[in-house]
Amino acid sequence: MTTKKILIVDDEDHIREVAKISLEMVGGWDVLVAGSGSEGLAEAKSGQPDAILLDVMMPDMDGPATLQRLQADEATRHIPVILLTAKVQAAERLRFAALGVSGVLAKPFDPMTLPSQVAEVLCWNQ
Amino acid sequence: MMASKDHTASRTAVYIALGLGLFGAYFLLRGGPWQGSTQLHTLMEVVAALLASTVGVFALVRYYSRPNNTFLFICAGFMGTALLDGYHAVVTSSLFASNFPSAPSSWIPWSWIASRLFLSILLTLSWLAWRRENRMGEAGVIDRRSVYAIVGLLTVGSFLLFTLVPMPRAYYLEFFFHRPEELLPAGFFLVALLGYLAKGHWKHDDFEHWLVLSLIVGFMGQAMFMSFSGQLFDFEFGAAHTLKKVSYILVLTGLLIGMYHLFKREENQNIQLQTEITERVRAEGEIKRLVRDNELILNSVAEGIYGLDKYGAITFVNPAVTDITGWSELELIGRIEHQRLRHSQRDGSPNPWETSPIKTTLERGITQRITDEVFWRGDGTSIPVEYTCTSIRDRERNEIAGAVVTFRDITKRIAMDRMKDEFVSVVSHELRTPLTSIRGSLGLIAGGVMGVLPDKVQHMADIAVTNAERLIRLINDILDIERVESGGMTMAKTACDTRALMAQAMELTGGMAAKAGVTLCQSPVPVQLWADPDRIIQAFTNLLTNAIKFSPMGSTVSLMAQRQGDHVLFQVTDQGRGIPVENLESIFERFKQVDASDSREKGGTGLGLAICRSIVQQHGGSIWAESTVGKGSTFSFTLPVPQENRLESSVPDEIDA
Repeated sequence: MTTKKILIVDDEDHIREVAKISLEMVGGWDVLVAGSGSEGLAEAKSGQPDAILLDVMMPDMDGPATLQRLQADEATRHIPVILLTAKVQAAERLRFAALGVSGVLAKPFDPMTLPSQVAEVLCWNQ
Repeated sequence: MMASKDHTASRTAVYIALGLGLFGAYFLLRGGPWQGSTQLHTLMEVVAALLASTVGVFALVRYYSRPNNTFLFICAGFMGTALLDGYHAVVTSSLFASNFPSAPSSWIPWSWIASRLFLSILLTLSWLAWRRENRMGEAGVIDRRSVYAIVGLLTVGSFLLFTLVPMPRAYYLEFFFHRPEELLPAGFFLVALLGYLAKGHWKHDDFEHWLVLSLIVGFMGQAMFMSFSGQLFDFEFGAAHTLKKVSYILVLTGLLIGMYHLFKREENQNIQLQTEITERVRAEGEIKRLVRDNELILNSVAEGIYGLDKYGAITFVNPAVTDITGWSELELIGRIEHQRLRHSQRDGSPNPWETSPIKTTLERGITQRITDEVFWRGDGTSIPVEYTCTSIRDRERNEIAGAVVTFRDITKRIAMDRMKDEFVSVVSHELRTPLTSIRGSLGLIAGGVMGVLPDKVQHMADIAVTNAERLIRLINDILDIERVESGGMTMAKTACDTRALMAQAMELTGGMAAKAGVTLCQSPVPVQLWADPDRIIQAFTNLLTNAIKFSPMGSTVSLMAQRQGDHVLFQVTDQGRGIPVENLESIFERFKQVDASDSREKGGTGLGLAICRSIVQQHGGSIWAESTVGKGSTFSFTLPVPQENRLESSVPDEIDA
């Protein structure tokens, strides 16, 4: 399995850092990070990651808005996106799933199993 | 007047005894030596005239107290008889005897007969007039003025007859009946007697009983005594005069007793009427008070209340209806409610009457509780409402007469719910964000990602991770129970297979069971449910994790399903320490555990079973626990099977371990 490259988009520095370490050190993947939706858009375009882990609640441009922009851009449309959210209500999950994301993962997450969860959602284990 | 008691037997005996008595008396006493005189005769006839006039006056009073044909003829008959008896007394007295054209032996008997014949005919007429009234009702009532006029003419005619016309002889000693003319009034008395006997009122009516007695005496006096009188003032002559007065006294007695009963009854009726009036006044006051109270209640309640007839037209509204909808009372009363208030749905699309819950209530009498409709106001805007529609049943006709709708404006509640959801969402986010960092950092440290830790530090890091997890579960559970119990958690119901739900729950708890050395087994049934799969799986996992937590190593926890009629029974059974019977109910309450140390030792939040109960109840099922201390527990819950799936197989699959 080739080394995957993941982009983490989250406005929370600490969460971003924990997720980065988890994916790098537990998952063994390359990790790009962005602190906002607009940064994430630029990083996705330039870095061309294999997947994007996108926080839902962010100031200025939230997760769904960022996703919409990613899907609208030819250069990033093909990149699978996993939403990372603290909103766990069934109705919200259904709403997010309807946006065309690959999966939805809940916060708080276990950093030791986060890479395997991401891989499962994206079917990287097959 | 009318005594309800039946005296048929006793009165019949009295009549027979009276008839036979008079008959016997005649044979015992006939031809006696007794001899009267003109003076005595005049005196007796004066008494007779006074008695007859008294009877006539009482009969007149009785007639005017409650007019009918019978008493009209009786009062007229006795008044006329009183005049004729008076006339008879006067013309047969020694003072006037020489002024009349006939010999005393002729006009004394004939003027006697005039009185007797007159009375007997009037009494016969009184019976015939009763028959007429009885047959024709109101139309059979005879005009009293005609009767008075005829009686007056007959009386005056009699006076003139005796004054102007010489009378034939009255005594015929060569015949068996010496005064055969006496048989004519006797015949009329007999007809009247038989008539009144046939009428039958004598059996229960006091007056008619005494009248019948009087008629018997009248008939016997004429037929047995006077008709055998051989000369003026002999024994039979005197006896017949005496019996005439007895017959008057009998009628008078009957009148007095009858009037006593009549007035007594009138008095009782007055008392009863007065009581009824008092009761009615009180009841009307009570009704007015109730109406006033009802109006006050209807006017003061915040909910809108309106009535519908069976066609769906509005029959009444309380002030809250006009306040909330903006329609005036005039714009609502008599209008079809559906067209006025519920013609369209929230999005403006037509709201068909055919599927209206109120139509269901009006047609089938089923009470409807609706929480997601809108009412349309007079200004064209809509308001979200919840309403209850209850049928009004006409019990006499056993049909639905209409309905009552009670509704409230839920705009504010919807806004509050929205605010609450936002609050929960924000709190959820704000709590989870730092927890994510804490849990993540601790997980990386405890997981050895940051390097191998000394044993004691590793132990501390593990404790921190465990408790961070516990805090996360607690927050999740608190948010869950709040949402489920407030109805804020939307149940995303869909068709789902019980086997798939059970398999997922087994998979989610398999790791925990393996770690605890507990064997899981399941026995599913292939039934399609209409449920929120995530929530049902949550209920399964809550019950399974509880069972695993309290099961000893090497024991088995089973998840069984069984089809039972219109529902499926799910059971989670363990072989753990069991639950005391007094706790079997309370463990479903929030933060209630069998042992206070359980949450600390087993890592539970004390909310798992409360969440299970809420989820099951929101699916229309019920949940309960059974347990034997020291042997284990069984947690059971039911879920309804949708109608269309009820014919499916209820044979369980083989048990999977």
